[in-house]
Amino acid sequence: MAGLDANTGRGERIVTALLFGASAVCVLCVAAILGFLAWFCLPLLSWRELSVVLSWRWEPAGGSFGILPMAVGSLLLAGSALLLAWPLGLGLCLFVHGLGPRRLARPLLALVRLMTGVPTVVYGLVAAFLLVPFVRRALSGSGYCWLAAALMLALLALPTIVLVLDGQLRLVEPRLRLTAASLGLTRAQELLRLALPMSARGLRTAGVLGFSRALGDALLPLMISGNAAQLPHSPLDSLRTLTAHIALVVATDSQSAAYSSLFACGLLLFGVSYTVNLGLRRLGSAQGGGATGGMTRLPAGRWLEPLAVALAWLSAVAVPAALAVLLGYLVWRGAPTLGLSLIFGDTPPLDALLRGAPVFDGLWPACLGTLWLVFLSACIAVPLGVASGIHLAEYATGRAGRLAAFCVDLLAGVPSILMGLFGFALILLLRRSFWPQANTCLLLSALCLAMLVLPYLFSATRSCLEGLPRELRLACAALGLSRWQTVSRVLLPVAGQGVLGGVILAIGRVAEDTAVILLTGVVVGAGTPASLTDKFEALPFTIYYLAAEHQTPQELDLAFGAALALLCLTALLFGAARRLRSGMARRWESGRSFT
Amino acid sequence: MSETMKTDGDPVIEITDLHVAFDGRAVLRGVRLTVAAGGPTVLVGRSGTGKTTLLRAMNRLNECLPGCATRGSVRLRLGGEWRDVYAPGLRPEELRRRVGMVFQSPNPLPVSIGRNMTMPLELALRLPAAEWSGRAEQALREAGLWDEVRDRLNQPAAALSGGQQQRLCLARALACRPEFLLLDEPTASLDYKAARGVEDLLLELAEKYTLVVVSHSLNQARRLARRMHVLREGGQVEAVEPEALADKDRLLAFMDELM
Repeated sequence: MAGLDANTGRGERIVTALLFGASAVCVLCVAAILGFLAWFCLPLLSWRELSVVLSWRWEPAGGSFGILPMAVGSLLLAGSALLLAWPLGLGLCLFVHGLGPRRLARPLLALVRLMTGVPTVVYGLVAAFLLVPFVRRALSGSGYCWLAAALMLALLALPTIVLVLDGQLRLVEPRLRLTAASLGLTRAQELLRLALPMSARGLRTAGVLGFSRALGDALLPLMISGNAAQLPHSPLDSLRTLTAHIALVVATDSQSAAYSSLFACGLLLFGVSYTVNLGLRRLGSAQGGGATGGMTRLPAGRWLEPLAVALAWLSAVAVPAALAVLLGYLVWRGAPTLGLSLIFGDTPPLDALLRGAPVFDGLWPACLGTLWLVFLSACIAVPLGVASGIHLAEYATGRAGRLAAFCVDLLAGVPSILMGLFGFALILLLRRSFWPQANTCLLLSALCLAMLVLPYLFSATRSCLEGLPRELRLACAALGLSRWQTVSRVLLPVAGQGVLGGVILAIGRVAEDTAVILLTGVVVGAGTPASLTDKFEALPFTIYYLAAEHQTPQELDLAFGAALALLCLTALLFGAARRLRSGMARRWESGRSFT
Repeated sequence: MSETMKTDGDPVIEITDLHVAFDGRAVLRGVRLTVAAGGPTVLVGRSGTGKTTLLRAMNRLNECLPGCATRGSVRLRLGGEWRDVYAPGLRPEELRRRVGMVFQSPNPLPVSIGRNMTMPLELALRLPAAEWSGRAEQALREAGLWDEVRDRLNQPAAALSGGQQQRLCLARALACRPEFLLLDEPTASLDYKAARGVEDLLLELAEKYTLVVVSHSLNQARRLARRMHVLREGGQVEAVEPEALADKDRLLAFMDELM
């Protein structure tokens, strides 16, 4: 029997130290990004330079490096996308939680989960060849415009919004169901009068994350907003966002003045997403506070319920329909190209798989590159993110905890293109200092991607743990379970679904991201990566490149085939993750000793 | 289990000058209480006087709640020697294992019935798996639950009725073979019959364990108590004279005066 005296808590202390370390790394990540952006912006610190950058003209050839049109463009585009996506997301969530038929709830939620796995570049490709021509014919202009980009970004931000809201409602709603029913409330009343007002935090979080997603995306604006460096006068005008601007400048310019303005864009982007984050957080704490302080009052009118039902049905029809059209078009174009030759070209598949024979006109190197990216960044980000989430939910107190939470929130607001820019800057710095041969590579991409998805893992873990009732912790403590035993054996398994949701989101994000790798080492025709410091290919980049630069219709077909393959790959990842979860839950639920 | 036999009536808990505050709001101010072995010792008092907090001070459960500050001394006779519960070197996990607790509302862990029993054996006691089922069965028998659950150990604990859940929680505490049992209004969420069943059980258990029971039903207190203490609003604890316990009218008069 263990003694009463405290000499057996060493394992516990090590665990605590490790968890603390994970949180510290999160803080360091943010410090590093901000530090790099600021360092490379230093040359701008004079009135003359500043007035050049903060102007309304972008003509690098004429010496004008104004970034204001792009700043306004970013805000307009993200704002309009959120305006579309947030109500739709809320409607979908209400539909799933009882305003629609129950048997449609599960498939609909599965569809939304699938949407998180639809790569941005797939949306971009389909939109460029379906939505853009449609807008051009139905309305006017070139079709590459604010409207098209906003529609697609709304679709992109939607799953984030729905999943956050769904998670929140799942925590709140079961506790209310019986009480509300016993009081004679209908399902709609329960949702609108009790569950939603208690989910104010979730509603805001969904908005913030959705906005960050729309603002931070580089690829959709790059592919379909037209990219003219101007202020749009109508939704049919072309615009350029900060994110797309960064990608375009890195790709085309190499003048030093253009580079500085690039980092100014980065700093501005960081600042905007930070301000939005902070502003909504303030709003939250102003309304919140106290156990019932989180209640936001909805208007009392009788029209609210029918309105909500209408919104729920509208979303439940419109979103799957839009998705069906887009993916249907993709399958129609891509399916004929599917086959072993799409992946392996003319090389015999077994040779490529077993002997590493080079594949030239197939997608094999790109597939392999993407898998490597997912594996490497998951190895880095999953332990870090989950550990720091646990640390903050269960261990951290006071100022250190608040600092870590703040930094991760900040990291969550950092657009993916900035992670790429960070990697790019890191290489620039290494080259100028002690490692002149440093170059963008697979490992760098994985590192930047890991930083990108860290907040997903962190937030999922933390919010799930914090949502668990306090009685559960007291019960465990009263039985003599240590803190780590309580966390690892009781709380984490209960919160497992939520944590795994975060992992899924993270993996999907790594597999589909193009913006980060665009700046950190992906190239066309790199072949199979032989080491971590090699250049590499990746599926999303191949699609992006072929969509813009295809020489022949066959190459475009290859792009559609690759898009379909990428979609299948992400679907496969998600399926595996879900199986893993259900297996874990089964093992934990039934006792081992009594079976 | 304790090596030395305690004779019924020797003091085993000594609380002196105990102050507990949550977020600066004092709940207990200078409580002094001595509890004798065996029992049951019943703590009564109006709601809000800090009965639960006093009980949770004995197994240091208060510090699992945010903003808790404890001052003063709580000493328990554990394994035959007096131990200061709040001494810096003491492991709270081991203390809580030896000082079992049953809560006001049943709190089964969200796992199967069997796993509820074995999880503390595995994690808190680190017993080899071979001993789990024997211990669990013995404890379930002690709590009078074995015949009801023997065929459904793999079902979720939440599927049991309220009374069964509460007896499961009691069995779960007993399986760890504690020296003390703290019970916080253990029958508050049960119906009359289930409550009487748990009360009978507690009277039996008092022969083996030291029982401290919080109650705010005077009738229950009379049925259970071998000794009774009243917690008053100011935080003082008054012992009820043994003679008063036997005489219902005298007890009621005494209570009126105190509460």
